Amino acid sequence: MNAPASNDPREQLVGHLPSLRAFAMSLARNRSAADDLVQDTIVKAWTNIDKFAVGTNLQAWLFTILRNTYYSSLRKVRREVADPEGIHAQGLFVKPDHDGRLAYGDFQRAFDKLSPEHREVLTLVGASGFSCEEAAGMMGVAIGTVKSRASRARKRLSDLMGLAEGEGAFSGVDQASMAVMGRSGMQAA
Amino acid sequence: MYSDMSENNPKSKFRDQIDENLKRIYDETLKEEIPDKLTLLLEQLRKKSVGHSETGPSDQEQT
Repeated sequence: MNAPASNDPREQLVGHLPSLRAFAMSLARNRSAADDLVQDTIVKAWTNIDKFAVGTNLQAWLFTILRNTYYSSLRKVRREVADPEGIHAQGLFVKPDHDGRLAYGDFQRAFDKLSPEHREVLTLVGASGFSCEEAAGMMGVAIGTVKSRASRARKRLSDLMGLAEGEGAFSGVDQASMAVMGRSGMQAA
Repeated sequence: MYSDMSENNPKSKFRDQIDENLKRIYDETLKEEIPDKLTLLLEQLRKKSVGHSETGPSDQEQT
């Protein structure tokens, strides 16, 4: 790839496409909607590149544009849907596998049922490696709000998976007996 | 911070599992190939801005 002016942040946009898509997917949970969101983000970033403060975190700036774009389009939908916190999504009770691990498929289904705000905070601080401070900047809220929202999101996730946090997979079971249980479970099966 | 002493309690292990799964969801999309429409969009934007900043004939295309 040729990079004519490497100090032009616009030339760095292409390198941020994968993470923009990953973040968009965590919000939209639909590939084509996520790609539309990335497309809108790129156009906005390109045309407003003069508003980017060189030397600051470009990825954080792009994520901010993306989430703001997402929420402003979501606001229209939400006027019609009276359940923004996804309460209708209750009723999913999945026990962990016999080996005590959370099954990935069950986790994905529970994640899908979270509100976008909960998916967002967990993705920013749990998956994409931003600090709570950076996430707070992107989300336009206080650091304390990021922390409490993340904690509520984790709680909701465990509720959706039918696990009370702290007494899920590992309660009262140490690693050694886990291993034994795992083996006997395999033999039984 | 009490993360050191809580390293072995069930609550933090459960938390670790959540984070592990969150990363997995994120990384799955991260590793996907970028759709053509996004790379093409960047190319178009680049051509357009070149067309604006340079006088004279450009290869700017109207789409």
